[in-house]
Amino acid sequence: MPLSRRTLLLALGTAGSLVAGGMGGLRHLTSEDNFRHWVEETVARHMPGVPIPETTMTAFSAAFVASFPPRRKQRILTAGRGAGNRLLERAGLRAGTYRSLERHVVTQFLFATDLLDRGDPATEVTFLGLRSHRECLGRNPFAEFL
Amino acid sequence: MAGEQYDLVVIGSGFGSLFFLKKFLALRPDSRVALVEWGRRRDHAWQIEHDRNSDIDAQDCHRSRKGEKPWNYTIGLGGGLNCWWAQAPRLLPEDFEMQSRYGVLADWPLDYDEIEPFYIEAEAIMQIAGDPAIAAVCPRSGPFPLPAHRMTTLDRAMAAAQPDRHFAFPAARASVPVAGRNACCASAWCHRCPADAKFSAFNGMAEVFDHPGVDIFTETQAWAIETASGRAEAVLCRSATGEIRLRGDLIVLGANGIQSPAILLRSGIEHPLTGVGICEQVSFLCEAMLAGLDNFDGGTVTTGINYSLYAGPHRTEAGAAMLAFDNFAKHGLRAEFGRWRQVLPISISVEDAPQDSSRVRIGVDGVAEVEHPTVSDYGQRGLDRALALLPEVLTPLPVEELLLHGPRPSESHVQCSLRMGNDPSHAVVDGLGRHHGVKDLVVVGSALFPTCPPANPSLTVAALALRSAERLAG
Repeated sequence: MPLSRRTLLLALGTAGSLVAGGMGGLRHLTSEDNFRHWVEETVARHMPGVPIPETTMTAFSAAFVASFPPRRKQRILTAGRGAGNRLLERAGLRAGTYRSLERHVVTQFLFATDLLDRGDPATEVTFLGLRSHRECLGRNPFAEFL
Repeated sequence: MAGEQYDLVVIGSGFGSLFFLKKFLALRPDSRVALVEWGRRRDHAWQIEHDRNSDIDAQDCHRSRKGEKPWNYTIGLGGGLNCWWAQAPRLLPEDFEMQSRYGVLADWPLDYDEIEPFYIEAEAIMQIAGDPAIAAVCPRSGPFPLPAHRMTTLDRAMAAAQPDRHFAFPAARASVPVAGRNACCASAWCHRCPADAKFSAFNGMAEVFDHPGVDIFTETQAWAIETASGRAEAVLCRSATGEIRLRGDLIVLGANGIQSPAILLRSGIEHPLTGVGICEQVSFLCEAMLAGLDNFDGGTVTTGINYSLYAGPHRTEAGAAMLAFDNFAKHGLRAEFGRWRQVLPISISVEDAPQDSSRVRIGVDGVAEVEHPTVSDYGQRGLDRALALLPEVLTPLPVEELLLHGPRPSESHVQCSLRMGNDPSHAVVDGLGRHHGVKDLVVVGSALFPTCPPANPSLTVAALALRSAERLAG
C-alpha cells in the first residue's frame, strides 16, 4: 500500500525522536556521575557496617573514576546494574567482567584507604590515595617472611 | 677490538651466553672474548626509573603472523636475566627420557644424572632458595644454597596432604639477604625487582662484564656467522657505526629462540631443522575461591609448586602440567567483606610438543618471521587434562568455586628452535650444543631443548651452558 506524504513524514519523525531519546538515555547511562554512583554503591554494599565518611567515599570514587580507562564499554557496564546481565550481554561483556570490576573496586578501596591498618574497627576510614595498578596488584601487605 | 682474533665470540648475553662465559673464563681466565649484544646496557637503576627492561620492544625485532601468539624476550645486556621472575625449578628425570619411557617426543642427549652436578653449580651461582623436600621429585646431590621462602597457609595445607607433590617453589629471589642482593619483598613486580633481590645480570654477572679480557659490544646486532672450510670463523655485526667483523676461535650463539635460528638462516648454515619446532609452554590462569582460609601470607611472589599433574604414564597421550601457587592478588582480592584473602591464583603451565608447522624463517629483508599456527594436540590434551583434574588436586583446600580466567598469551620461554640430539638427521646440534654441520660453533639457550617440559627453563639453560663450557674449555 503506497504511503501518503503525511504518513511518511510522521513515521520519520517518530523514528527520529526514538533515536534521539535513545542517544540521550545512553549519554545518561554512561555519564561519569553514574559511574561514580556505581563505585560508591559497590563499596558500600561490600563494606557493611564500616564507618566510611562521605569525604572518604567521594574522594575515592572521584580518584577511581578519574584513573579508569575512558572506554565507553566500561561505562555502559556501570549502567548494567539495574538491568542485569542482559544489558551486559548487549554491551558485549561477559558476566565475569562485571564481577571482576567489582573486585577491582573493592581491592582498590582496601589499598587506597587505611581500612586494613586500622586497629579499632570503629575508627572512620580515611582515604590515603589511589594506588597505581602496579602497586595495587603487585603489593602484598599480608606477606610474612622468614 | 674489531679486527682482533678472539678466543671466543659470544652472541647474545642471556642465561646461556653468560653462564657459558662465566665457566669458560673460570677455566681459561686469560681468554680474549667479544660479547655481542643487540641492545644497550641498562642497569637495575635505569630499569626501575624507566619501568622497563630495555629500550627495544621485542615485538619490533621479529614478525609474527596475524592472529598468532606473541613471543617475548629482552633485547639488552643480560637478556632474560633482566626480565625473568626468577622461578628456578629443575626438570624432572623423566623429562630427559620421553621417548624411552613413553614412546613420544624425543630423548635428550643427556640424562638427569649427567646434568645434576651442573644444576647444583647453577643453583649455587644464583643462590636459589629451595625446599629440601623437593628432592622427592628432583633428586639432589646437595642442599639448596638458601632456605625456602615461607609458604602460605594454603601451601602448607597442600604440602601436608601431598608431601611428595607440593613444595615451596624454588626461586632465585633471595629468601634472606645475600651478597649484593636484598631479601625478596614479595611484590609481584619481579621483572623490575624493586628490592634487587632476584639474581640478575647486574648483581650476579658483574665479574663477567668487568673481566679485563672481555670486550662488550652493545647496540651491535650479530647479523651472520661467516664460515670457511666447514668451521665458523667470524661474526658479521651491524651497528650504528657500520659493519664490524669479529673473528673468533670459537663462536657461541646464544641470542634467543627466535634470533639464534635467524642468524643461522641468514648465514646460509643449512640444516633442515633450523628454526623448526619453535614452541613454549601452554599457560592458563585460574583461581580457586576458598571458604574460610586466607591466602597471601607467604614470603615471595610464587610460593608453591605442585607436581600432581606432571609425571606419569599420561604423558604418552597428553602433556605434563605444573601448577604454580601465587602469593599475590593477581586478579584482585575478593569483594565479599572480610573474605578478601580467601582466594588462590594458580598458574598452569603445560608441556607443548615441537611441531614441524611451527618455525622461524627470515623475510626478504633478513628479519626473523615466526610461524606458529597453534599449540600441539599433545599440549592441548595436557591442558584439558589439567583443567579436568584440578579440582581433585585441590581437594586439601576448601574450594567453593573455580574460576577459569583463560590462557596467558606468552610464557616468555621461547624453546626448541635449534633442537639438540646425537643424530644429525634429527637434531641441529649435539649434546654439548655443537652444530652438527659447522665446527667451532656452539649453541646455548633454550633453543636447543629437544622437548618443551612444563618447568621454567632458565635454570636448565644455565646448567646446560655450564656443562658445555666445562667440556669444551676444560
